[in-house]
Amino acid sequence: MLQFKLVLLGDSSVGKSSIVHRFVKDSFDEYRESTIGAAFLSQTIKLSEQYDEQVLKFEIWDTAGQERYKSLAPMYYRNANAALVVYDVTEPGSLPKAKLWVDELKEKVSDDKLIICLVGNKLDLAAEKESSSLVDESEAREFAKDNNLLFHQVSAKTGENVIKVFEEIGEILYLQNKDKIQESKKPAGSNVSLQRPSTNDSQSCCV
Amino acid sequence: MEKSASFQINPQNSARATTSVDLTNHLSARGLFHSDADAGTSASIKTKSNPESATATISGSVGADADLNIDLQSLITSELNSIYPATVNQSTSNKSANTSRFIGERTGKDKHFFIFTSAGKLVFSQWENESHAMGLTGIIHTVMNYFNINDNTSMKQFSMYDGDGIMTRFVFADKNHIKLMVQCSNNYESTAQLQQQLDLVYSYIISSVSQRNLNKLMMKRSNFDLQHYLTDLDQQLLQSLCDSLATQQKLTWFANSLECLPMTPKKRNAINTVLSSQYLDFNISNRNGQILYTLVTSLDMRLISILRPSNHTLHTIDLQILFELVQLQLTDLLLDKVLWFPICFPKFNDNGFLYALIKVLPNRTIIMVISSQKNAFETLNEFVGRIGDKLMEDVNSNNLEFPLLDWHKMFPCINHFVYKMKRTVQIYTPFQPTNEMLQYYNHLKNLCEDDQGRTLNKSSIAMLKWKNDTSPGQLSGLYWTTEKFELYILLNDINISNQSILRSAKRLIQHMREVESYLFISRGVTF
Repeated sequence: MLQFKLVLLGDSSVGKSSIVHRFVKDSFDEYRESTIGAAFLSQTIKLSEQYDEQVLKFEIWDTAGQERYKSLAPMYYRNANAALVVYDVTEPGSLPKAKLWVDELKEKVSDDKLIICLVGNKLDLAAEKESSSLVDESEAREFAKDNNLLFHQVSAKTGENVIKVFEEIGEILYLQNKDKIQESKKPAGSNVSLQRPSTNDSQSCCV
Repeated sequence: MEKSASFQINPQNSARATTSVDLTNHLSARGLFHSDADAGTSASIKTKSNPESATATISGSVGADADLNIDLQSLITSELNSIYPATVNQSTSNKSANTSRFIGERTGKDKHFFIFTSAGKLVFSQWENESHAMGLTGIIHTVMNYFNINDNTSMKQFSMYDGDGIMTRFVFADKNHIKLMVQCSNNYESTAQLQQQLDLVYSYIISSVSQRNLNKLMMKRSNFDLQHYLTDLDQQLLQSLCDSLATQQKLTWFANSLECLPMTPKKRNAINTVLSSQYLDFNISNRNGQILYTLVTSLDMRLISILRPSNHTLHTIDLQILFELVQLQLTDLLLDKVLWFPICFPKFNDNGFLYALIKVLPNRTIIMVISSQKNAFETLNEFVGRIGDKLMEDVNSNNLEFPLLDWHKMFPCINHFVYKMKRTVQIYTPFQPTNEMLQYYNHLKNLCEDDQGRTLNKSSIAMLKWKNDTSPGQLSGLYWTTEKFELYILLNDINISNQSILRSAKRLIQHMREVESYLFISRGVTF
């Protein structure tokens, strides 16, 4: 099975764990403890027909948003294939933090195939609030565009768009790796490797 | 419940050699120190040099040690009166009226924890209202400085009485860069116990920040704002820790030990074998030193197995803090999350961080692997994965627990007991005691210890009978401590003779020794 590493980054209490929770368990917990250090979990998804109904496994690092754990972050994003950088649409201070994470990823991760998705969470709360107290959507969208990021606004509470984010990332990863997949699907048993001597065991009786 | 009104001496027993204590002096809020006036007449402790043979009966007075401090205490109380009249007497000045009203509002709870930096900045207060707490922090800080209360002086606490004669104690701890205080208006907990609780709270902060970091932060700027450096999670944890210390203390904290899951030795050995064989496999493949400790516990944090280096043990407080953290994340763990976080074990090494991997295994046990390397997650995750698979294969995971069901039949008069094996610092109890039971146990224990927590004799026995006028509840209790064990018993009958209580206790100890291999982990697996 194809396995990909995905890391969630962002300021504390923007809802990283809730997004993962929605994706993995399709449920929402209003009162949850802050994440300590980081949590690791995995989830498989099946892509649509258009993508050959490929099954992918995501290995997800849900990191703690607190400043103090920041020094541990490289460990989680170092070999990542995708990163969700999350901000809270009702908390204007969380977007600049997200931008800093994007900068850090761009700077520290040499893999140019790394998929970064900027995610605005808590969309359900945005309707109740005055638009002046919200994060400016166009600013976020523009930042994503300038930096070549995917962009989504989601609600972990209602589930809106959450699965879509992971599916889209899965599809891109699939396309990136399609050639490799096709290669590995070729039946291997029918080929006989001519380079390899039939017996190379020095202790066998044929020597 | 107004304890002072509801308990009495059991008069027919007061003349006998074993103990009965005037509870109005000891369980009530009317002051431990008053009791010294008539100490010795109503209280006596039976101590024995050899627990197996009942010999001399020595009368000791409860709180004798406190007696020596009485002058100092009253001196300070009167000094305080003159400095801050409002905290003791009603005053008309605005600020002090606020303070005393605030204290009054909170009478529902009898304990409050305060943490602040040496510069007097508030770090944590159990009270919700921060502005009140800040004012009080200023007062506490001044008091501590004025009386020079620190770890090097013998003065650790003072007490005062309000208009109704209710005693409130203030117990202090002055740690590196951090000062702590607990205000306590119950008097069943000794000063030593309160200080131990302050140490637990302080250790928690260190487990999150580490002493080295704390030193660095404070050296750079002594007025550093630690409160905002602590994460929300730290604040939540401090709150839950202090709340449970104040309202529902855990038996493991009270007994300063850990609890094991009772299991058949065969099953425990099977799990031990899985741990050690997997560990050996891993070490051969050149990954030495990544695994320091491995613990397996039940979901309710009772120890099942330990894998550790032969030259290191883990300190009880360190594990209690780890268990506390894990318990708060249990809902996440049950969703198949694997946690990976840095933690400083203050008693192991308060300068550095270790890394903990926590996972719930398929057999509904929790595995905790502690490593010194922050990049070891993948290796360790593979390690726990293999252990999980192997456990499912090799060990019948159903009914890991082997409960002692027959104790009630064997000891029909015993209501509840706690047995602590001192060598391994582990306890066994058939079920968790209620708050009230813990108060009785506290009361019994305090008879055999001075206020600093030192036992008055190497081995002592205390027996008490509580009689409750308002309800039919009547209880007898026994506390027995030797170099090897501590035993707490509650008996649901007041008419049992002391001799038969003692006989039951002896038989119970005998029984505990027989089933020791079921109840306790003796060494764990070492490497």
